[in-house]
Amino acid sequence: MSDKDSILLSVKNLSTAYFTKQGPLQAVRDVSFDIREGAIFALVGTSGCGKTALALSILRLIPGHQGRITGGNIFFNGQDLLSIREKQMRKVRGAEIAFVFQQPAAAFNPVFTIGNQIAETVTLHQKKTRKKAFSDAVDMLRKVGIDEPEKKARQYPHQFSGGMLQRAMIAMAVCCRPKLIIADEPTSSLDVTTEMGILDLLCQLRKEDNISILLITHNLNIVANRADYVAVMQNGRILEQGDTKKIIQNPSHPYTKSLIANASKNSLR
Amino acid sequence: MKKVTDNNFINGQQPQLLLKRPLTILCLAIISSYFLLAAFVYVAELTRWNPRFTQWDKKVGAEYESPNGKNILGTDYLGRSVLRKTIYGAKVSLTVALFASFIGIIIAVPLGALAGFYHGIVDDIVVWLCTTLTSIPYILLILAFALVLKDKSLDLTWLGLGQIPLAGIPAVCIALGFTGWVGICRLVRAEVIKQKQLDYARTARSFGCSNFRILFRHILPNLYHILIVSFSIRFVYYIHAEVILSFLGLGVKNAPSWGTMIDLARQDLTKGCWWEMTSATVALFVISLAINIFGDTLRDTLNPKFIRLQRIKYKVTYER
Repeated sequence: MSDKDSILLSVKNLSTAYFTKQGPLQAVRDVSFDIREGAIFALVGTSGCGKTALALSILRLIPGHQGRITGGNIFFNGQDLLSIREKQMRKVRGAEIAFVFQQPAAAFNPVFTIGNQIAETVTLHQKKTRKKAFSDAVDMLRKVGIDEPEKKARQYPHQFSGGMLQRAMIAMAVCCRPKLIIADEPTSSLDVTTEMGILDLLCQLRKEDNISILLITHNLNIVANRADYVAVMQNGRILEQGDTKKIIQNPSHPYTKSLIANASKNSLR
Repeated sequence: MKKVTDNNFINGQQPQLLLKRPLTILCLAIISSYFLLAAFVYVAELTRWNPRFTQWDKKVGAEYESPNGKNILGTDYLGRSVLRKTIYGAKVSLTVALFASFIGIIIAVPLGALAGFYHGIVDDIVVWLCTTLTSIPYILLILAFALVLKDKSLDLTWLGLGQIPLAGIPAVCIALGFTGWVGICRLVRAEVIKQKQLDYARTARSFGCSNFRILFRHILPNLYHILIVSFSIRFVYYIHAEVILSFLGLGVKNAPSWGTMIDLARQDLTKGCWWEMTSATVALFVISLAINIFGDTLRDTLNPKFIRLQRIKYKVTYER
């Protein structure tokens, strides 16, 4: 982390708690990391270790009655996301930082066409007419590799397959040219071939538009090939982080070692 | 991708399913003919065209004439045609039901949506309002409304409609609309609570939508099927309510409605004069039945879960 200017997102001592009947549950504890411009930062950990809570915290998406960010700072382009007002936060969401969710089938509104939903995101953040926004949506669908985008833009989410939906989701995420995409287990509901396609697409977008990606996953095999940096999470804490190659080849924490051992067992099969 | 194909089946088949059943088409025809009749009476009144069968107050024969070739449904105690009164009654009933349903939905949907979406004080106020309203007998409320609105009139001269007196049909509409919205409000509230936790609402938020936009632009369109079905149920309820109110003498005055017809015919039944009671009741029965069956079909076509259930049922019987 020598060049400070190229750091896009900097999370410092972030803690998030969910409210439960037994009292507050610390989902994220004192987490710090930096994401550089144009880098892929992978967050690895088992289910329930706080990966999603961390991702939602960055965009302040945890509903007020469910949980709260209890401490820390999130600097995005030098701006503290935790101190700005909700109205300014809305301008960051989608336009500067976009989110790709785990279940593409549930993430789209079932009663609107795909094209309309992408166009809505465009009109929310850019002063464009509805028609222009729709043609932008079609262009984006073409860019993420969907055949016949003019026709597909007029279809509803249930007419899409899982992989296509995730591509459309990515199209929606990149349509306002954000600087960072948070991909929360983008491929965990997809088959292996589709998974490769989606990851290739993300890597290609990173190269073309210099978008940084926070890739949240439980699959170390994905991380080893694609991520520049990796952080391993357990029980809401980051155990170790650093250059992907270094961590994979020379893990220092026993938990990371066991993760790598299990991952290599799977890949041998 | 089993789920996706299932959805495909449901949404791809919707319009066809609605028009495939002969019974549904029949119901739709009945409902539209009632509406056409009501519209016809309105047009005749507004244009002062005055065709024969809207002149319900004209003496057409002897008193208590039983159904015959000249007066198909007979005459009442003043020698007026029962058929004409029944047609005029359709106008009153449908107007009341339509406007009362609209008033109810206009009040219920925003209140229910806000209560479901925002926790805390907004929810408390709306729920309190609902419980309070349900605890007051609605006939008392309607009496109060009728009393208050008796001499009032709505000034619509700026629309070129002149002064509209609020007594009579408008009073019944307002009274029913203001007392009957609680059920829809509760339904909308519960459904919004469910929908706002779904992923698409979170996606909308993560792309920068405001609360207001999420609620009215994303969640409400997902409630349309519920609103349509509850509209059809409320509609029948309001037709009945109008009849009951008129029967009790609280409803429409100086014009025949099915309720007043039944009320008057009650005394005539002992004289063996059954036709007035029968025509009003049958008119009421037919439209209620048609709307109910149509509402059922709407629910079948608009509720994905129900279709899936039906399909499984068919499959099981087939395999046996």
